[in-house]
Amino acid sequence: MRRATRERWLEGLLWVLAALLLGHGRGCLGALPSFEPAAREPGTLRLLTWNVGGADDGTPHALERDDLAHVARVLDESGADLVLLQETGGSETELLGHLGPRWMPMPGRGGAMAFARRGQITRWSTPLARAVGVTWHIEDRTFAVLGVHASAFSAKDRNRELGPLVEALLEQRADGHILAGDLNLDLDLDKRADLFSNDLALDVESYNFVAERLEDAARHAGPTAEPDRRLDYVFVSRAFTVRAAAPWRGHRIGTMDHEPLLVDLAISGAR
Amino acid sequence: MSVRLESLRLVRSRRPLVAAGALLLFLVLMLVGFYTYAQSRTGGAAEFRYTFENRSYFNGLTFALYAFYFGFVLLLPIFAATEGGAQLAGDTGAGTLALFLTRPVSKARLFFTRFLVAAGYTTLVTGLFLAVALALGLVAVGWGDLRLYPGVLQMTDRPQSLAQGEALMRFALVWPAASLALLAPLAFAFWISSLAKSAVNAVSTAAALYLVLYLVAEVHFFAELRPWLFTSHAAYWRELLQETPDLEALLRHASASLGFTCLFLALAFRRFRRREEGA
Repeated sequence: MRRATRERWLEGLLWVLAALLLGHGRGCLGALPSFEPAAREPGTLRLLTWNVGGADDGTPHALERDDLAHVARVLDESGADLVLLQETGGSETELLGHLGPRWMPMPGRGGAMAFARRGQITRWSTPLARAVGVTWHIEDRTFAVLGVHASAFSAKDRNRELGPLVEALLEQRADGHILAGDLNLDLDLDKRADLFSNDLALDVESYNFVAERLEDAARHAGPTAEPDRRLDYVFVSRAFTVRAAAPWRGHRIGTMDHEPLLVDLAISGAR
Repeated sequence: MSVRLESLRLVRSRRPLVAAGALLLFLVLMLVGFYTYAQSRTGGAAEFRYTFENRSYFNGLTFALYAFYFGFVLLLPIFAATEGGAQLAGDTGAGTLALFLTRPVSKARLFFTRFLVAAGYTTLVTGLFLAVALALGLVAVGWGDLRLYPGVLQMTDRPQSLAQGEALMRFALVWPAASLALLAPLAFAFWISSLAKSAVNAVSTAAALYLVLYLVAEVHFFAELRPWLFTSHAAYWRELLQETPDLEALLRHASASLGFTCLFLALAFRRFRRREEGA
């Protein structure tokens, strides 16, 4: 009888230990971080990159007319100082109409577009058809910024595109450098066994080429695009300290497949 | 029912020999794989410096890490499942369990002694596997700093480097951490073993279920499901090889692994203490 009681106690102890330990371990694979636009440290610059295109029943499309007002509202509410869009698809003028006169536009090529709400931007020439290069003059500083939309379907093309783009960016004389956009690289760093790439080795090489030169600001922030892929990046030079970086979840609409990615940057050794 | 007797039974079962042979074969094949890869990438010179992520950083520590990681996720849990599955069901099938219980020994003591011996064995196999991988890396390639790049191991999101001495110390910490993670598949197999009446059924079921759970945990669409699977937490020890390990994440994953171990042990013990032997 005593033995049976002792065994019941032992079993109970195991149940209690299991509950306590699983309770403590809960959350280590939990919810994904989302950007909080309200919390902004003073003296930081806020940058947003967003592929505003999508796919309807498997057919890719650029920014849709029905989504213009929503995109403009999200950009406005984000508090971003500089915005880099991809896949605008010729809707730049209409989008600017929704945004209003506070925003300074700078169209690039192939659906890439930059908008500045603070500071001034001037364009520089990029070696890729789907990119926009701007020099951003803000707070007595000058930053070279490159918005990119890399090839969606070929790791080889991405590999060929990113090398010259990064080199072109770093050749710009500036106080700091920023590369942002839809790079279409998903290296599955969050260990979700993605099968997206047609050549992971090349994508790894492409990513490492950029990551050895610039810091991947939102590397812990999880996926940015459906289904569960991290395709959008903001890479920054050492002139910046990353204060916050994450996709702003729940802001894609309709058949869009990307969330906007937001980054708050402090200028290192700010004047 | 002493630890010594159980250990003797384990040695005589020849399962350790099979595990050691399979792991050695795995390491040799990994070495051949890296050799031929390097040969093809260095124009026949076979210089051990090329890998998937970077063209110039491969060394014996990288080899040990690659070998241990892939061995850990696909081989060691199978040996743990085999050991756990064979424990209770083996004696049930042979009818020796009822015989053991005619002696003045409690079911609790029999159960926990067996788990203790199996856990010790798993820890030993893990340590030996890691040590042989490191030794083989030293002899065949030579050590150096451990450099990590984002890539196939999915361990880092930026290029990192650990000096050789620091890296070896981290590998030493990997041993207990990885051994702890293997307790979950071991306890899981114990639970299956407590339900089965034949060792073959218990081992094959435990191994098959482990593979199912491991594969499901790897599917990226199942983000909501993954935290509920013990296989999702198993490779947490990789954090120890980061330049700055996230200690909180380490502790949480270790807790989850140990929690699953206790859960499966509770289920196994509940079943084991209630069932009628020899029925």
